[in-house]
Amino acid sequence: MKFAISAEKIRKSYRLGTLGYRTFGSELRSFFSPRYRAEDNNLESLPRCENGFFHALRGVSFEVPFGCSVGLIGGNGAGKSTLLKILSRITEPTSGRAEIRGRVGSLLEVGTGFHPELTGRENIYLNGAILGMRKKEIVRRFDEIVDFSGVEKFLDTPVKRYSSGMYVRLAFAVAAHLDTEVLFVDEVLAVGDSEFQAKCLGKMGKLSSDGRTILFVSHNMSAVRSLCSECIWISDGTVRMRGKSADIVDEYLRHGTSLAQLKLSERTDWTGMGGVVPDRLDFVFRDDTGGYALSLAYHTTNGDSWMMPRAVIDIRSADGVSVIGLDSVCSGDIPLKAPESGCFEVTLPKDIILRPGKYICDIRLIGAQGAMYVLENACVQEISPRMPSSWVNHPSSASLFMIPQTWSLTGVR
Amino acid sequence: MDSSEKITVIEASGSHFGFKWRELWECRDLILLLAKRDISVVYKQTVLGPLWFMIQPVIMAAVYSVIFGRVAKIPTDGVPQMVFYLSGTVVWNLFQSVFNSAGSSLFANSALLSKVYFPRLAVPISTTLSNLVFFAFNMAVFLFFCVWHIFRGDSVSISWWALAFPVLVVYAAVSGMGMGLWVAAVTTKYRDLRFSLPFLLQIWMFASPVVYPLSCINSDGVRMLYWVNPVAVAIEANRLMFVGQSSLTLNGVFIGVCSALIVFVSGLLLFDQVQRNFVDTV
Repeated sequence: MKFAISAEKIRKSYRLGTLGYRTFGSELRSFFSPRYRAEDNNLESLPRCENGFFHALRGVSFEVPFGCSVGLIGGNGAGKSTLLKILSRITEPTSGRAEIRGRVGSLLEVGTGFHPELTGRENIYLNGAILGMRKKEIVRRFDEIVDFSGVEKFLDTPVKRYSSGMYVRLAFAVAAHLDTEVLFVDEVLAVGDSEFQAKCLGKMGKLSSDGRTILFVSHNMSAVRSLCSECIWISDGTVRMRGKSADIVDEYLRHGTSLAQLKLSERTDWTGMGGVVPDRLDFVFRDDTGGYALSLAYHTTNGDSWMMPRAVIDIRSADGVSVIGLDSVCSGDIPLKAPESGCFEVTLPKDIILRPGKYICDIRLIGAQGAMYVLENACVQEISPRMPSSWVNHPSSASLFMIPQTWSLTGVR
Repeated sequence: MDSSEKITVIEASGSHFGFKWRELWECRDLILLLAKRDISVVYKQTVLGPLWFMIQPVIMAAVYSVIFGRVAKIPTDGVPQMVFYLSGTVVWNLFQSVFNSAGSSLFANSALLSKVYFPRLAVPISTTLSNLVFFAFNMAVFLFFCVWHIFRGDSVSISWWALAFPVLVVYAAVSGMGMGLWVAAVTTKYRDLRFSLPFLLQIWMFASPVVYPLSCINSDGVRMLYWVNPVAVAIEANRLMFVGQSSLTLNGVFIGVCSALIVFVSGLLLFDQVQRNFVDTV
C-alpha cells in the first residue's frame, strides 16, 4: 500500500555549544574531525544528549495514509516542530528518509512573507506565491480569497494600516486557499480571536473531509480530538504511541497527570536555559482568606540572585483546556532582583470558585535573558466541591468556574 | 491519484550536488513577484520615486568630476568628464547592488526562509532582477549624457558594439551574483564578512577603473591582473560601446569571462550546499 507521507528513521542532530563564536583553531579542528555517525538500526536507544550532540529526533518512523488527518502531540521540546520543519523541507534531516506523495503545502505561521508596505492585493499575490501557489491559481481564486477575508474595502491600502485582526484574517484567507494534497499545519490556530479560531478549525475540517492529507501539530487537545482521526505522540524525539485520536489524547493527558505527581526536584523533562529551579509548587484552598492560593518556592543553581524574575503559571483542566493564566508581571510587587532562594505567592480572589475536578499547572520561570525553566504538568490539584450554600443549585455545571453575581428584575411599565 | 503525481523525497543529501533546476523553474512566478515587491517597496512614500535612481548617479559623477577631475587632475582620455565617470559608475552600481543584495539574501530573509520552503536561490535571483530594473534608470541617465555630448560635438561616439549591450548586462549581473552567492553562503555561519564587506567593496571600487581610465596603467602585467576583475572588463566594455574610448582587448574579455564563470559556478555550488541546513545555523 502506498502512503501520502512515509517517514523512515528520521534523525536530526545538532552540535551543542555556541556555533559561530568559536576560534579559528577549533573551527579547523572540527572541520577535520570525523562527522558524527550513529548506527541506524538502534537510533531509539540513543541518549538525547551525548558527546556534545543533541538528538532532536532519534529515528522517527511513521506512515500517513491518503486523506487522513493526523495530529502530532507531545510536550515542549519533544521534537514536533523539528519534524514538521524537516517534512516541509525547511531543513534537512541528519539521516533517514521521508517520501511525500502529492503537492505539499505547509502553514507554520500565518502571514509568512507579508510586507507591511504592500497593499492587501499585492500581499495576496506575494503570500500565495510564497506558499507555493502559481500565479494563475491565485488569479482564479482571488475573489474567493477576498470574500473569505472580508477586507475588500481595504484591498488597495498598505497592510501596515490594517488592524491586527484584519491582517490575520487576510493572511489566513490566503493560506486557507492553498490547494495542496498534503498540508502541514503548526499551531496556526494559536493566533486570533475565538471566532477566527473557530473559522480556522472549520476550514481545516472541510479540507480533511475533501480528502486532503493533513498533519497537524497542536497543544489544543480538543482541536486535535475533533479534527484528527489519528494521533502520533512524540516524546523525547521518538514516536511514543500512535493510534486513534481519542485514545492517544487520553493517554497523553493521563501521562501528564501522572508526571505531575512526581516531586519537582525529580523532574527531568523541563526545558530552558537553567539557572533557577523550583523546589515546590502548592495549589491550595486557604481557609483563612477563603480563596485559592498558589506558592512557588525556588532556588538559583549558582547561588547568585535572580535578575528580573518573572513566574508564569497556567492552570489547565484535566482535558487540556486553559482555565486561568497567572503572570507575576501583572503585579507591581516583584523586585528587579530576587534573592537566591525565595517563594512566589499568588492569591486568587475568594469569589472565584473552580468546578470540582483535577487541575494541572504548567510553570515558566523567566529571567533577564529569557526562559530559564519551563515545565508542563508541574503539579496536579484535585479541587473538591466548595460551594457556598446559596450556590448549591447553581445550574451551569459546564462552566469552568463560578463567580458571584448580582441579579435584579424590574418591571417595565 | 493520477500518474503525474508528484513525489517529494526528503533525505540527507550529504555532500553531493543535486541541483533542482525544475523546482526553480516552477517557482518563476514567485521570483517575479519577489522582484516586483523589492521594486515597488523602494518607491513607497517618496515624492520623486524612481527618479532617485537617475539623480544618484548624476550626483556621484558630479562629485567625481570635482574631486578626481578638477582637484586630482586624473585624465579621462579626452572624454567629457560627466560621460566618463557615469560610464564607470553605472556599471559599478549594477555590480555592487547585485553583489550586496545577493550577499544578504539568506540572512535578510531568514525569518521567511525558516517558516516556508521554496528554492532558496529564488531570493538572490529576484534581487538581481530588481537591481536590473534600477540599473535601467541609471543607464538612461548615462545615455542621455552620451547623446547630449555627441550632439554638442564632443569626443564621444557610440559604436556598433553597443548591439552587444545585453551581453554586457548579463555578464555584470552574473559576476555580481556569483560573488554575492559566496558571501551569502559564508555569512550564514561566519558573520565577520558582513562587517568587512563595506570597506572591501570600497577598495574594490578603486581597484576597478571607475574614476580613472585603464590606459593610465602602463605595465602589461598589472593590466592582465585587471582583466581578472569582472568589473574592470565590464566597465571597459561599456566605454567601448558608448564612449568610444577603451583599452579592452580580446584577451581581456576571455580572462574576464573565465573568472566570472568560475566565481559564479563555485558560488552556486557553495550556496546550494549551505542553504539546505542554514536555518539551523543562522
